[in-house]
Amino acid sequence: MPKRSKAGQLDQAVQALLSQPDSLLPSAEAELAPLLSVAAELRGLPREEFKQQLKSSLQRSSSMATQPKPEPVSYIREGFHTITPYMIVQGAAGFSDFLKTAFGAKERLRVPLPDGSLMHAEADLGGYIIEFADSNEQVPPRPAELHIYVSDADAVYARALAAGAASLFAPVDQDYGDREGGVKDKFGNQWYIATPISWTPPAGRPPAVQPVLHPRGADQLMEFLKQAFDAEILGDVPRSPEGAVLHVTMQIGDNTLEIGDAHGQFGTVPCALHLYVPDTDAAYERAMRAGATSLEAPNDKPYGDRSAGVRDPLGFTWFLATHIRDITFPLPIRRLDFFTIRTANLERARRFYVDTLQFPVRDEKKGEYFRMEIAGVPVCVDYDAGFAGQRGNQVGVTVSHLGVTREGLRTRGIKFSEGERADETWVAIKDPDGHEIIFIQEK
Amino acid sequence: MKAPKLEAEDERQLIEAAQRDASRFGELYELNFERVYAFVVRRVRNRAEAEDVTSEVFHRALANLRRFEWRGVPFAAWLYRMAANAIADRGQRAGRETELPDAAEDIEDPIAMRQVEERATLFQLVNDLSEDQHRVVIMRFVEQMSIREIADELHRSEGAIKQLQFRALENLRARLRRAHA
Repeated sequence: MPKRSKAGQLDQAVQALLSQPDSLLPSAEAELAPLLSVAAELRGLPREEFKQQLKSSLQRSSSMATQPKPEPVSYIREGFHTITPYMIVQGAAGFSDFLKTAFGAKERLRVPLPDGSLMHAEADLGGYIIEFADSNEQVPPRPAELHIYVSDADAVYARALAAGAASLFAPVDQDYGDREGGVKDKFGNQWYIATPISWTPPAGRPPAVQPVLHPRGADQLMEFLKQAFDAEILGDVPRSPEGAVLHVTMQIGDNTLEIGDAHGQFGTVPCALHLYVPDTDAAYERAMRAGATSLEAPNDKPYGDRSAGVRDPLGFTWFLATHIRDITFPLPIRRLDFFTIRTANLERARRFYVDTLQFPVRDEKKGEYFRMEIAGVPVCVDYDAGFAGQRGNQVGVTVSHLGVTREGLRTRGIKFSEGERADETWVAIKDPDGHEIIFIQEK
Repeated sequence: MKAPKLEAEDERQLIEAAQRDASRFGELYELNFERVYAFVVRRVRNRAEAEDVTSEVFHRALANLRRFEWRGVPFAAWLYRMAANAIADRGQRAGRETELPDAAEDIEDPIAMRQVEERATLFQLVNDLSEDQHRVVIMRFVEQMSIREIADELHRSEGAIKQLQFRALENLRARLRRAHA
């Protein structure tokens, strides 16, 4: 029997080492033993491709890390103040016309439903926003009382009457320094139209819109607003001989509201108010501790607010909100119906997606297209002879387990690249036309 | 050649540069990739896990680089600690903390850490082999190809491939001894 060369003997030992990775070093001649130790360590040699891929992935992450972070948004949506009245009326479109005619308001947003009613609308009145919507069977009318400051109370009072409002009282010089008249519009809202005549507001101009609340229990409401929303009383609290609160102004954030105990013609109008707060969750918790009942727990809205709803112990409704990101008005999309990727070779693409990846086919037309389903989303693969050589699309798919995905691809003999970002890891493959499918697992 | 070791002052400057500008992290990565991989590879079960952990360590290091405070301890020690934690986390998630020895113990064991350094040096030395020897080592030990498959791929005889493997291991052994002499 011919004697084996040293290289041959070494390879025999290396082969044993590679085929039984967990075993001890195979026995070898003393001269070969040190080489076998090196071979044993080389079993752990990293893949050069992995080193490069990880480097690229880190470079992407580091370039993301060095990009300037977006400026934090204000907790109050642009154009709003902290306190905004939200009026639910029957005939919101007509109410919008009334606001324009009587007060010169400008409609800034209208969201109609298919039946023509308004799901939501906003009007700007002297730099302050009024929100309103149509009532329906589930949401009954909820009018409000508002104190508005204008440059000529008499003229605006007259315009309001001409626009269909009924007079509550004609403009008179009030002893608190305003010339003021009152009207009730045909939607149930009461308006106190005022011009300062013998006082100068601190900021040079009074807030154009101030909600007025007439609860049966003003002290209780004041206490609630302090505890829940850090409301502060501005000035004195004049009281009747019986101790009822006649009038108080309270500030929350950058806006004020007025409170007085219900009396005479000023009964309780249990209005709804939209209140921007720095932290909706915290305000909701505090409101609940202060005796409110929950209408809606805090949740993120598609228009960029985190929002919640409570009713205070006196029956007023508070829509709490914190603006968390600026979003252009979102389209009311419910689901992705389909999208199309193109292939220069329909049969080859079908083999890749249907035979190899085993995505189910919904329907197909030979020579033209096939429509498959990826996680419930139909994806149409369309034949286009001119597509060859063009840059492909990217399709991102979230998977529940990236390790299983990786093994699934290995089993199918599909090459993949992989990487990692701060919040996700991914494995990417390319179809025969160069379209990329990225399997993503969130960390 | 030895797994590159920087003077402490040079390393401190590199770290501070990367803390100011994350795009400089690549230099720290190049200096430490083999070390981390060499530390990890003997404490996990397969290549996929070694890559996952190594990737996790460097991404964590990048994300937390600003928190790293220079106290004269090598940067690699910080990476080893993160690697040991990552391995322990994975073990716990997989419910097998008793099966593999604790990687954190390695950090305290000078012999184990010397082995890690030597392994890291070896991984670097592979890149210095001649092209033929380098290809054979990669195909044999990374791609786990048989001698016959390598011979077919490189259009050489099986004997020639065995010789290349033998010479490559001899070279690596000799250079490793010089590096750690």
